[in-house]
Amino acid sequence: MKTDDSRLDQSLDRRLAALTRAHAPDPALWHGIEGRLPPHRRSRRLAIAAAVGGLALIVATLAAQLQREPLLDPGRMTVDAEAQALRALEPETIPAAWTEAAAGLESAWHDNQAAIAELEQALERSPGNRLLLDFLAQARRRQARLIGQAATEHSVFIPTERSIDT
Amino acid sequence: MNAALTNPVPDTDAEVGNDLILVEAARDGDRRAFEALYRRHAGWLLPVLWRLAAGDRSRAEDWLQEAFVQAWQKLDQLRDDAAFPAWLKRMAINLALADQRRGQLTLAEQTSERAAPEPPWPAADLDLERAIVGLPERARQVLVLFHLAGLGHAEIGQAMGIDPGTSKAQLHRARTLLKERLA
Repeated sequence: MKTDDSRLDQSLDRRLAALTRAHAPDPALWHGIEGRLPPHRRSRRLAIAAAVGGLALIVATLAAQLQREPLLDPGRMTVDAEAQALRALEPETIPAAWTEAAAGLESAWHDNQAAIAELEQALERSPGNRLLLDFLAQARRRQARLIGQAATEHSVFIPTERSIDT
Repeated sequence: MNAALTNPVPDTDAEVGNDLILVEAARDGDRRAFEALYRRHAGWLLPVLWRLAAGDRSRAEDWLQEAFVQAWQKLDQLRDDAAFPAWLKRMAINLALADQRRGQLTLAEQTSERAAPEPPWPAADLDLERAIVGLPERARQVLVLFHLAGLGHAEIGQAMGIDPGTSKAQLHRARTLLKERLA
């Protein structure tokens, strides 16, 4: 059996559920709202598009800049400079005067020895550098050739400071 | 959530789909789309606000306007477009409650001096409408939010800054007063 209170509760619930839930506001209200809306709203889509466009522009500019001026690697610069210095030291062919004068041979041998020392120092800084290894091998072959020339032509110059190691 | 008495907000797929399109367009600055959103949602929001305002129509309309202006300004912050009706309702309710907290004394004086208010719609149950707007403020707020805005006690507690248990107590008080006045 239901109590009076629960009957009253049910009645109240029915009446509450039956209350008006929707009513169109006065049409003038919208005009009041419209007049207060800020005139310029930046849309999120436009903002994103602008950001993407800006980023693309920056990337394109950087890419063009890098093509013109590649980033310099200090290690690579050192090796290139040393290689360039060695190329300058290396004659295209051994001058004929070297075979004619012991003094010329000795001078060439000392220059070549200095180049070998520099290459060995560079290799200590950049172990396994193939370019330096190639130059070192060439320098040592040249050293052997100079010694061979001196011996063949009875030159007075006989290197004694270090052994030949090719 | 008070599932039995939820708002007449759009809940079919087609209606939610329309909302999604309108919200997206409004976010891009389309005022016509925002006007369409207003026409779809202002109608169910106004009765809630009118009852929260204790039958003060101009105050309810002010809150409605302010809620839509804020919605326009904050659309970028809405993460789930399908949640627009719930987001708008929360914004309007928070506005109303904050305004009532600020002007509590003034409103109480005005209410006591006013004649029994007439709702702006043809009232099917004028006695109940008047009994609701005549409730003490906190009891009325909880009753309206629970039975007419479809909020649960946790949500009401959060909106009003009270404990959910206090919300239940205020609802019980409101219902008891209504039953007495309507008996």
